[in-house]
Amino acid sequence: MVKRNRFLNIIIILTFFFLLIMLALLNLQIFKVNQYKTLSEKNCYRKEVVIPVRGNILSEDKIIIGTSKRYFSLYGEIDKINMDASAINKLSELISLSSDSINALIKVSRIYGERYVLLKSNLDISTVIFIEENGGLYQGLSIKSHPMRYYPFNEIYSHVIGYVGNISLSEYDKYKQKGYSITDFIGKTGVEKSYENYLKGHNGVKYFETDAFGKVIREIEKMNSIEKINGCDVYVTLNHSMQMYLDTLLRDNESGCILLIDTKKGRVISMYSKPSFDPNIFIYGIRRDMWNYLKRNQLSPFLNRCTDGVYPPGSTFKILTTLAGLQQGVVDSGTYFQECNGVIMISNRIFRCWSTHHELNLLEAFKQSCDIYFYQLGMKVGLNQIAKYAYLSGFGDTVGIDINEESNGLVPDSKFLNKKYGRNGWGIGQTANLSIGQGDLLVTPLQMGSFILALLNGGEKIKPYIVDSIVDKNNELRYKHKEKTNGKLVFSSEDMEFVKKCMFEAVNGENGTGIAAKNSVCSISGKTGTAENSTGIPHAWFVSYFPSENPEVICIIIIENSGHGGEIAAPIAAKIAKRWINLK
Amino acid sequence: MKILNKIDKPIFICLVLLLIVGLMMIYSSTYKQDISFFYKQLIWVFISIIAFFLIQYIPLKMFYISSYLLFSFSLMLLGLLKWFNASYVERWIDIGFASIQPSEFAKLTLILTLARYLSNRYRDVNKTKVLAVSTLITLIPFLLVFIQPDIGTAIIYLIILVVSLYLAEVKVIYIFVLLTPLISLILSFFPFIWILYLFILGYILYLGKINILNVIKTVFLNVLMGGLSPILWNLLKEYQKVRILSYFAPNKDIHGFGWNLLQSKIAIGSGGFWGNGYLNGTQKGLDFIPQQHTDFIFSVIGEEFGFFGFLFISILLFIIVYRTVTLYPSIKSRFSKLLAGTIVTVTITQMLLNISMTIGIIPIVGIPLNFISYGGSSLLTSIVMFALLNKIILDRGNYW
Repeated sequence: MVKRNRFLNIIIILTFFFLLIMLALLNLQIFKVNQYKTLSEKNCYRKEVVIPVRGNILSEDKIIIGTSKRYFSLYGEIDKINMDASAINKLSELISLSSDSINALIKVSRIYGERYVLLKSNLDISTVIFIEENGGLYQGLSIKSHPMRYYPFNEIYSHVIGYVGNISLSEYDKYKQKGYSITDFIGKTGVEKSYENYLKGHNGVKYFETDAFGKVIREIEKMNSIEKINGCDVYVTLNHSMQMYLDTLLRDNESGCILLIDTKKGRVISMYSKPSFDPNIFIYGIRRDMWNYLKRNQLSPFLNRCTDGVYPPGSTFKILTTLAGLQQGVVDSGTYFQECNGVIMISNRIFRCWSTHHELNLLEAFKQSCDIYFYQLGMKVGLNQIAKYAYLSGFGDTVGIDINEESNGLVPDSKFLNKKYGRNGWGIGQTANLSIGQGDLLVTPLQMGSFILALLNGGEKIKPYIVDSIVDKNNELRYKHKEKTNGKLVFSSEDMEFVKKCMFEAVNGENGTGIAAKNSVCSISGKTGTAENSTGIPHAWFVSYFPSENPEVICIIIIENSGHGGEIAAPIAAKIAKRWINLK
Repeated sequence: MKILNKIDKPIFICLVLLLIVGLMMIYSSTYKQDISFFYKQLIWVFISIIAFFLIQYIPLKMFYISSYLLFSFSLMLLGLLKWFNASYVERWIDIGFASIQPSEFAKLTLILTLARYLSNRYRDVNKTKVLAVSTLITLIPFLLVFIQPDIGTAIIYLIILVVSLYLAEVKVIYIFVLLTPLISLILSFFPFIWILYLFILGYILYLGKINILNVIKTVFLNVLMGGLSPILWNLLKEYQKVRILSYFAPNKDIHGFGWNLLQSKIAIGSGGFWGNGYLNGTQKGLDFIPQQHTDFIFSVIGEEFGFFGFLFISILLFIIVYRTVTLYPSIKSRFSKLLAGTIVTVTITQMLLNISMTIGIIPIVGIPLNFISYGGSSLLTSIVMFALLNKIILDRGNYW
């Protein structure tokens, strides 16, 4: 048997393939040529993007805090709209827009050859119903509805959840690969931004053939059209009743923030920052004057103070100074230093204490927040050593929570100070200042909260998080938070136990600075802070957790420019603790 | 002239005509935006033609001897891409005046390597070891381009393997068996279908009178590949996953191909039989079809020269194929024969795949139209292949 030439076999197969292509081309270029010629000549096909419904954001107690609402817009068909003065007047009353403006709108649309004119966006529902029911009265009007973002609780969640706005050109460049269109809305901050991929879903695409007037004749290229995919629902760890309660607590304060973190897993229970803004204003384009007002506001309403706000920690930093001293072995719980007379001389400068404490050991000094004691303790540890322990405890770097707005804060070490003040421009006084949380030191409430979280978990630096799980529209789990850590604290467990004891005593002991947080319902451990700053009256800090015996919640409070932490911030912690017990 | 004795006139004339068509089309599709595309391509055409003649003075044996080395070198370049380039466009290496695309050169060196390996073992081609080694040789560049991801080129590498094995007289059932683990690689994401597939596979092989031990081996290999695929998949980066998925789920249309395809079909369809005339295309411009001078160049031919343009190119290809098929049996050296057969088959297949893509018969996977599409690496590779073909045809009587 003569073997067939295998090369010939291949050529035969390719010939069949070739014939198939030829048939397809014949179909395209000979049989359908007229159809494609019209499409090509008049360019009368249109690509339409079908916008999916953005996913909901739900709180831990299953309250919807970010959702999509149907917005209604009123359009007029240029050729059909009744232009009589009386009809325009009626319309003007209905949508509260002057008849001159309506005439102008229609005129402009005529000039540009558009078929429809947008008369009013964001109609309220009663107007919609009225027009639908009395359609006869208003010729040529039509109402179109489309889903848009809606935040039911206005300014309560605006920092942590963030907001959506029109996609910017640079964002469009980055996201067009994912099918975004130039008219899309996109998460700008907070959870809306960092979980954009899940919330958005996927744009659908349809192709239409249109007539010379742009009217749709039929859908074409169905096999290449894309179904829209609605976005996934995001479940956050925030507790809605607690967040609302925090809002009432800070009613009388101009600015401040409260951060509550669960002690076991690092779930953020509440993240409240004031002043705030209403994220709904971005949906229909914010008015310029409103934007300017918000942007120029001295109190920065857009700042998420919990994660992005940087503050001198004041005496709350003594938690770290204490641990650093114990770890370095320069003190133990019984060490006494030069007694507190209210002042101390450090390199020819007078450093003051806020009171006169006389002779104290470490526990008492912590409890009564004696600055004189901590100046001396800090100088024994040394500036770079404190800075090192601060770095190792997560200060001076982002914590890595799952929203993008986060500051590094600032931990000054000798390298930094040399750069800022020159090699001889600073002295031991900087060390004294650092040990009581003043000077150039800046921390975020989140860093402080994460530090306490690690303290309560045997040193394990657990990352706090906001989004717990994500579920798509078919109820399938798409994302579940997995515990992440940033390593371990370097302190020994005995030292950490000792500091916890100090924090307990600071609230519950005699003469403790945090005594105002003491209450009969829930025992609290904490440290007060009164942070001197350049903007005026000190910030009141209270860093705490409760219940003391079996901690459940870490509570970080800052009330800006309001006075002593023990007087202003500590009582708020007591209220939060009581509320927490009630909620359970 | 002496140099004319070095070329096979029918093939060379067809080649030159294809190059002219390519230059004309690149000019037509880009002159309004950026004339430099045309000049760059013109330079590449000159370089390629010079390469064509230079190769005629190098003994074929040199290619035989250096094939493994060249292959390793092209793999190294492909690997370099992974190390040097940023995550976005991973197909090109910048060499100053131009960028080179190592995946194109790897096509040529893979063909050479397989031709050498298989022609050396022509008695043993049906042995497991030879089949396994050939497959492994192909898998390295395959995986390297697959994760870029450049699915089009990956498919071409597979075609090179299949064609080489087939022309080397490997039994068809063995080639089929070799390809099955790849099917498992994809099917294992759908467990039920995959298990069903494994049973059917075993049964078919059993019916194909394959020794039971080999059936078990094959099924085992399939199970292994299937089990491995989730692990391999998880090794990929998120953006790589998204891009690979976009090829398999075209309805998600991450690349916006739906729009390109519609534009391409309108352009080709509106061309009719004679076309709208050179430079008269209307669907041009980067806003219509961004890759019109590269992967979608056929849409310009279709619009400006119509069905006639397609027929013209077809005739050129037919002449090349006819010439090779008739002379094929008289090629004496095994290596040359295998090389010639693979070069012609792979080139023609690639061109047919490209045209199919632009008219929507197959999904869009980024395969250029040889000789015609813009792109120096692709052009140089195609022409070097044909330089080798030319050489083989002239030397067909020699065993060397």
